[in-house]
This record gives sequence, structure tokens and C-alpha cells, in this order.
Amino acid sequence: MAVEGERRRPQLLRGVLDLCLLAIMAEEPTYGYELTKRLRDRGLSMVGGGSIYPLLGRLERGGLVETTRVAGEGGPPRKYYSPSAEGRRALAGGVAEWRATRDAVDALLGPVEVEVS
Amino acid sequence: MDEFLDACRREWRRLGVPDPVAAEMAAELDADLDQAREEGIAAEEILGDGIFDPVGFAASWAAERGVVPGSPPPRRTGRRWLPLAALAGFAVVTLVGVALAVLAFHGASVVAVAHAASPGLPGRALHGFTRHVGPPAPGLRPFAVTLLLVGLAGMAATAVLWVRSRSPRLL
Repeated sequence: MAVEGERRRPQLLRGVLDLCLLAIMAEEPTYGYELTKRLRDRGLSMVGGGSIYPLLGRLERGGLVETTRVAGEGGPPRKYYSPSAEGRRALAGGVAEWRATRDAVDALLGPVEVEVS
Repeated sequence: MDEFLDACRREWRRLGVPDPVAAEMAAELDADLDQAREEGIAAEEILGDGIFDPVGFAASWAAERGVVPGSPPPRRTGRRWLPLAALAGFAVVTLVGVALAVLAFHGASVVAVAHAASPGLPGRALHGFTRHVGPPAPGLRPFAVTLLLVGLAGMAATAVLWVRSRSPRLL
């Protein structure tokens, strides 16, 4: 059962990881490493043992993010991501879906109290 | 990490990712990994399981980003015949081993071969499978047995590797 639990969390995260990335970018334009750090700071470090780069690529291909190259302070230029207008609409829609799903699951699982011997 | 980046670059080149795009992806990754190293963050935090599979990581990123021209076949597809070819090769080796063993042990009949390999095997059922064509050739026996063992072991190993390679992997 412990293994089941360990597998479920990454699966749950995977379904909303794009929304999480868009939400962080919506706060301010961010680059890849910073996105990973902010996810981790919010307790979402284990994104299914995967990496965010392919997902960033998918968001970019779908036109949900805009990118800009910004010269680094003494370092190489960084690629900053921010949600496009379409990305913001997708975020708004996704958040509404998430809330509806969360409420429905909460209504079902919230009252559950199981005694485990 | 230089090796990881080099492997990614090679894969992007193989996939036909345009050079400027590949260079941009490599630069992005390089800068992020540099910063992680400076801050004492393990590369696994950035790359996840991808750190163990740079080729898969690079291919996945390029595909998701839509910068792979056309749909080149996955690297494995071109070698899908390899296990089957190996299996067939080892089967041929085994058959040659059997033929030589029959020749080498002839005179005692093929049942002796079976008994030599597995003394507990019931022999009567195997009678009649061979006919005498000449005197036994004891000099051939080590060679025949070696071929048999190599063939059988090769078939078993190939089958195991093939089954493992077809098992699904987590992303």
C-alpha cells in the first residue's frame, strides 16, 4: 500500500503540473531552474521523477507561453517564460476545472474516516 | 554534466533539430545546471529520472517542443530485428551442435547424447530418431557439447534481454 501511495502523488501532480507552471509564471516571468525551485518550495519537488523541460516545450509549442532572452548578471542569458494571453485563459479554465474536481473529490473523500488496525 | 549535454546535443543532431534551436535548448539547460551546481542542488532535482537517460530526455524535450522535423523512427525501431536475429543465430548454433553431437556420439545412438546431458531422461522414447551412418567421432564431442551449450545459453539470454527491453518504462 505504501508503494501505491508513492505512485499516486506523482500521478496526481502530473495532471495539473502545466497549471502549476503557468501559475508560477503568472506571478512573474521565470526561467526553468527557478520554476523547479519554486515548485519545490511549495512542496511539489517530486514531479513524478520527471523534468519540467519537456512540459515547458509543450507549453511553448501550444502557444501558451511567451519566451524572452534576458542577459544574466555576469552569467549566460536566461530564457524567461511567461503565460501568453491564451496561456492565461487556459490557466483560468484549468483552475476552474481543478476546483470543481477538488470539491467533488473532497465531498467524497473528506468525510471518510477509516480505522486501520 | 558536460557528458550529459553532449549526449543531448548528439541526439538533437540525430533527430534533425535545427542547430539554432538545439543551441538554445543546450544553453538553457547548461545555465540552469550551472546555477544548480553553484547552489548545491543535485542535477537530479532538475532533470529527474532523465539524468540516467540523456537520449530519452533530449528526444522527449524536442518532441514536446515540436522541433523534430518529420517523424523519424525511434532509435530502437531500427534495431527491433536484432533480438530476433540473435535468437535465430543461436538457434542455428544449437542445431549445428545437435547435429554434431549426433555424429560424435553415433554408435551409441542419439539416446546417449540425451543421457550424457541428462542421465535421468527416459531413453526409450528417443530410440529410432537416428540411424547409423558411420563410426562415432569422439574428437568432435567437446566441440559439439560446447556449441550446444553456447547455443542454448545464448537463446536463453537473448530471450531474457528481449523481454526486459519490451517492459514499459516510467517517464
